Amino acid sequence: MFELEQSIAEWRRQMLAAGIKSPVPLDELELHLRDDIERQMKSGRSKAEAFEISVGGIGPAGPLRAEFEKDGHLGKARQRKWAGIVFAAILGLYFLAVACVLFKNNLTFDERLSGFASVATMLVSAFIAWKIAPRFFPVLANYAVQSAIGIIGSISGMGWFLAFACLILPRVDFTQAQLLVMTLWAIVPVMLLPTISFLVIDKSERQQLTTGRS
Amino acid sequence: MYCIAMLTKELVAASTEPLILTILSNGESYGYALIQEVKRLSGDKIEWTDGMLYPVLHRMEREGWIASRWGEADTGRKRKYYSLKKDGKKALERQREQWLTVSGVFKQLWKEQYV
Repeated sequence: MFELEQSIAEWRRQMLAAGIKSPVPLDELELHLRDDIERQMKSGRSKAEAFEISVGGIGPAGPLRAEFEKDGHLGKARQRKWAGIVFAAILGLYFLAVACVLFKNNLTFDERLSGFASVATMLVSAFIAWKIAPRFFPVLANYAVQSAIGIIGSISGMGWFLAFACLILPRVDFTQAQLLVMTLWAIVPVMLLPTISFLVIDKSERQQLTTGRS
Repeated sequence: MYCIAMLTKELVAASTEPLILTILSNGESYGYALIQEVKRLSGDKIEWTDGMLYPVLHRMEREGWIASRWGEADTGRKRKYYSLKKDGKKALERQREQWLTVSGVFKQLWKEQYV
């Protein structure tokens, strides 16, 4: 004896097992299924036939999950866009802050020029890393390698700055102005190393989404 | 979107959003009714794989083109109703213009060809 409710519950379990885990689309799909079963039965089909036809109409779980993942893909694209805007804003603010510091302090023309050159280097490097370098980055399929790159990128910038502050600075005798300019140059890798590691991971993730691996 | 009947799946996929936007411009509706409406209007030539409609609806909702609300049908069954938002109307206008352009070009070309 065919049990409609039991079959619907089993279909729902299969959808969940296939990866459609969010309750809202699953509820919606189930309501759709029930509407269609009802229509099929009104046209004279048995419960079992109606169920089979309606489930076939909704389609298998795999392609459905892929469609929902595309939706997630778009969400990530939006997040990526916002991350880019925030990063550009941070760089812009950094440039303004450095300009203020360089003009307020008593620096020679060369020192001031070097300070601005450090900021320009950071801006140009960030632009190249964002626009051009990803073409040459490898696609890392292994999640563990991606994580390792992320961790290394995050701590290497800070590690470099600590080394600069603890090992390099105590050994040299700088004036206050020279110290300021040197610090500005030392900040460049602090910003760039995590950025590059982020871009490497981002490229790998995008590639995997495009080729359908999640 | 898959096409079971006569249109290619690429054409069905391209027309899905403007079709949904156009139907919703006449008033709110729900997934199952949207599918039935398109099937009826196309004379069964456009038949969406039912489940594939929902990811598209959710995507359009995230784009801010449509809004949704849970309601209750006359039968007492819960339903998720979709309605057109202001941005959706703008998107519909843009897509309508594009489809009309393509349609106009075909009309002229085929008129010349078959006269």
